[in-house]
Order: sequence, then structure tokens, then C-alpha cells
Amino acid sequence: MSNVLNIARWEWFKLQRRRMPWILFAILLAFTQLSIWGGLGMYQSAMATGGQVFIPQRLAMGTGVRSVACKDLLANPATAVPDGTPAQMIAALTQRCRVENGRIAGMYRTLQPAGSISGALRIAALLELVMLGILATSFIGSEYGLGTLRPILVRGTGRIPYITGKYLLLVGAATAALLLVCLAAAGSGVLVSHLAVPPPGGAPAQPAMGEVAVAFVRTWASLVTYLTIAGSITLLLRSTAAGMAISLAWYAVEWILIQVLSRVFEGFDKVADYLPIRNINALAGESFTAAPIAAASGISTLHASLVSLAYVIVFAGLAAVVFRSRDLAGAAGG
Amino acid sequence: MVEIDGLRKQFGNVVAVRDLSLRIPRGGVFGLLGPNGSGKTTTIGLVLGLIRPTSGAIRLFGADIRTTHGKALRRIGAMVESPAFYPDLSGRANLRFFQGIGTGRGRGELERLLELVGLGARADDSFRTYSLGMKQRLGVAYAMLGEPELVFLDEPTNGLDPSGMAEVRELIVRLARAGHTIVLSSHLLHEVEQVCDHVAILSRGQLIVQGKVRELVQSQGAVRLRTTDDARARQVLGTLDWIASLREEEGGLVAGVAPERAADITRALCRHEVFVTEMVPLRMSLENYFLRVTGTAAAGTETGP
Repeated sequence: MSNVLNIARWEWFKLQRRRMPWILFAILLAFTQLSIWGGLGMYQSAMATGGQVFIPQRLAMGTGVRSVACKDLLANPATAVPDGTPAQMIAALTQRCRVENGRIAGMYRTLQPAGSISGALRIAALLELVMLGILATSFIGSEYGLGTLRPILVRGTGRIPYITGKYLLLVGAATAALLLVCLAAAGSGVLVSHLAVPPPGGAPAQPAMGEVAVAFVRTWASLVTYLTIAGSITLLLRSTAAGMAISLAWYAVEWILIQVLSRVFEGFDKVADYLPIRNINALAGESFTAAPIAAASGISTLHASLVSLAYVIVFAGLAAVVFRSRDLAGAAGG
Repeated sequence: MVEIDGLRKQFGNVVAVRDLSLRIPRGGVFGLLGPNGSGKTTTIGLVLGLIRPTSGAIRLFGADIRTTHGKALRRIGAMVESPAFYPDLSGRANLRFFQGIGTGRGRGELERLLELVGLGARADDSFRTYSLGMKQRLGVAYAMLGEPELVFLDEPTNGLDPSGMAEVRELIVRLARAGHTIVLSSHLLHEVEQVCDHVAILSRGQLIVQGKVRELVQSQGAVRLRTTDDARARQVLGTLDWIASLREEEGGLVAGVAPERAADITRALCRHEVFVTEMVPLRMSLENYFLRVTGTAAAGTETGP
């Protein structure tokens, strides 16, 4: 074990001197922070008017009034709308304003520390996942590309301890990045919560820290599953380019495959419930809302966890067995 | 130090190493010779555990590598094929990394090795800016990390200019004098002849011959002699079974025999009243010897001293 930890330590020595992980982390941090501070701007703009509702064109004609601030409408419905607006229409607009107020309250919720962390986790579930795919395939595949695997193994590290140490470092880096993003989100959450005035109906209930912790663990598990699959593919193919192309393309293509094959083959939906990306996204759970291509279709957390675990065991096991027994021949030891 | 018995490696239908048995003694410089594709690098890869043997046994420091390979590797340094390092890291950082994952001996060792290979002044420059010679020298420094007892250097002078080759040769001799056992794989026979004590010659994955360089070359030596009666001398020498070959050349006779047996020749001829008027030892270069035993050159290519 000390050998594995020593390898992880020295792999970090190497990783920290590369630009790529820092650039990827900076992008992730920037996106999560932008969502928080951008959210504050949008919230304050919404709060200035209490939200807006649009008036039907036939009523607005000739009045020059196209929309009404909800703040005015809820304060005095009769004067806020153009003359001649039917009472039924005013009631409908008022109702829409109440919905708008609910939306603003929801925005306020994301500007609190716990809400900010949840928002950061939602972004990380997609963005960090893709970045980890790039980092893991590059970090593992470059040993083949540069031919450095041979001088490493000649040092007597042992093949399995070496690849385990490298994997542990990647998991550690993914965890640290997620933690730092969450901490930065919490810090920004504290700041923006002081800057944001609570909505008219009062501050809504915050997500409990326990829920945030569960979301963190689910996001982390989905990241580690994807990282393991992407890293294993790279190890099996001995190429950064092939590993990156397959793992990233599969992420995007799986959803399309499901859509097409479900139409062609009856019952394919059941098969699709066992495909990796669908389960990885289901594992990320509610924290994942990024794109329709990733939408999980009613897969339970238990199902997603077990299927993801099975993929981790099969891919990592296969990669380890092949890596252990494969000859390092040829110019670059590939 | 290294004992190889019945080693065989097959890649698909290609047999890279065929029933190889070899002994590498402790101390000095051992040359592993062979034309390209003769199985030198595969043999080193097999000893280092980078390649799995199809059959056969390898013992390092007296122990079978199947049971104690990790431990044995920590007593070995190796540069296999081209020196592969991380281009973004400096020479020093590269060595620190490889020192860290293996048997490192602190920063003092790094500085000593960088000075030894003449990279002290450029140690903090990134590896990508190094010339080919500097890369090779960093490879030698890498192979020396952890004060290994046994060092494999696979084609260490590949791509170097003559002065770079001389530098690396000098370095190898210095390392051997410092007590390391060096295994030098090369197809540059002149280089091997200059630095190696022992050699093993491989061809098409098979061991052709193994022994001390001096003995191998001398065993294939010859003498050119002129006598008072060459016809009679030819008759007499033709009856001696320790003379491998006999031919006429440039108005004299060339006898295939080690020059050390010159006295035996004169003694045999004297008994038959034939007297030697001139005798010149012909030394065979390792290159000629190599070409002869690997069957790629015509026989009779001896050169004068």
C-alpha cells in the first residue's frame, strides 16, 4: 500500500506541473462562479420589477404598453393594465405574476450557500465529467505516447501498484476539484446571500446540508464511474486519442442510439436501462439537469448504483488484467 | 549475475528469441551484439520483465525473476531503446520523478549524476529543449539512479555524433571502473570492442557465441609466414590439427591459428628442416569476427596489426 501511495504522490509531482489540469479546473471554477454571480444579477433584475408579464397584443394595441411589472400589478391590478382589460384577463395576469414570484423565490434559494453548492454540483455533473474524461485519457495515454511506461516499470514499481497509484491520484484530483468548487460556491453563496434582498413572500426554506451532502456523493460517484471507464478504455487501447474519442463520443452518442434503437426494436428501452451513460446520469440524480441527452429515465438510485458499480468492476478488472500481462515491446513500449 | 536458460519469446508467428542460454558475469562491461532484429532489445525486455517469456528461465542475482522480480529490479538500472522522458519537465525534475517512484537516494544523488553526465548546467531546462546527445546522457543518468549493481544500456550512442559517442563510451568505462556491471547492447562493433570485456553475439534470436572479446578475436586469429621452403612448410603445417586453415597469400602462407602459437609453428617446421624467415600476426577485428560468425561476410577478411 505504501508503494501505491508513493506512486500516487510522485504522479501528483508530475500532474501538478502540467498546464491542462489547472486550465480545466479554472474553466470549471469560472462556470460555477459565473452561474452564482450571474444568478445574482438576474435575481436583482427580477426583483426590481417583481417579474414581468406580457399583455396580449390586442389589448396592448394603441396603448404602448407591452408588459406589466408584477410588483405594480399585484399592488394595484386595475391601474397597472391598459384601460378596458377584462377582469378575467387581469385575474389571469395576476395568477401568472404569482407564479413569477415563486420563480424569483426559487432564484433566491440558489443564492444561499446550500443552494449555490447544489447549483455548482449540477454544473460539475456535466462539465467536470467531460473534463475528467479529457484529463484521465490524456494522463494515462500519454505514458504510451511518450514511451515513458517502460522506464517507469523498469524502476520496479510493479504494474498493478503503478496503475492503481495513478488511478488513485485521478480520483483524488477529481474529489479535490469537486470539493474546491463546492467550497468556492459556498463562499460565493455567503456573499451573494448578503447582497440579495429576500423576495416579497419572505426567504424560502433552504436545502438541508444533508441533501447537499447526498448530492455531492452522488455527483462524485458518477464522476468516478465515468473516470474509471474512460481510463480503462485508454489503457486497453494504449492511446490518448482513441480513449478520448471513444469515451467522449459515447457520452454524446448513447442518447441518440437509445432514441433510434428504441424506435427500431421493441423493448430496447429495457436494454437501455443498463447502458453506462444513462446510469451514470441517473447516479448523479437530481443534481443533474444539464442537457436532454443525459436525461435519466426513471432509473432508481439503487439500479444506477449497481449498474455503475458493475461497469467499474468489469472495465477496471479487464484493463488491469490486460495491463498486467501485456508485453511492452516496440519503439514506445506500446 | 544474470543467468538465462532456454529462453524463448514468440510474437505471433515470429520467434524473436530462440532457446537462448546466457551468463552475464559480475563486473566489467558485457556487450550484447547482433544485427538489427537479432533479439537484443527483446532479450533485455525479457530480463527486465517488460516482455513475458514464452518459455525458459531467467535468474537475477541468483533468484528466479518470477518470484523476486520487483526486488531484483531495484538493483538494476536500464535505458531501453531511446531515452523516454516527460518533455515539459526539466532534466532534474524528470530524474526526481524516476528517483521518487524507485529507489531514490536523495537530492545529492541527482546532483552527482547530473554532473557525472555533464548536464549540471542545463539540468533545469525542459527536456524538450535538449539535443539528442543530452537526451542520451540524461538516459544514462536515469539508468544510474539508486546506484544499481547491474546497468543495461541499449544502444546508448544511437544518433550521437562522434564526439558524443566518445563521451558516452568514456562514461561507460568510468562506470564499470566504479564497480557497476554494465550490459551494453549495440550493433556498433567498433564501440563494443573498445569498451567490452565480454560479448555475446546474437543472430536471429539465437546465441551464436559468448566469451571474452580478446579470446574470441584471438581464437579466430592467423599468422602470415615466409619460410626457406614454402612448399614443404605447407605440407608440414597441413598435418597439424590445431591449424584451422592454411592458404597461400602474397608470396607466403597464412595459417589460421592464434598468434600465441607462433612458437609451436616454428618448432614444428624446424623439426622438418624448414626455417621461418618472417612471421606476422594477423589480428582479426571484432567486426570481421562478427561478420564471419553471423554468416554475413565472406571468410578470410583478416587485417594486419
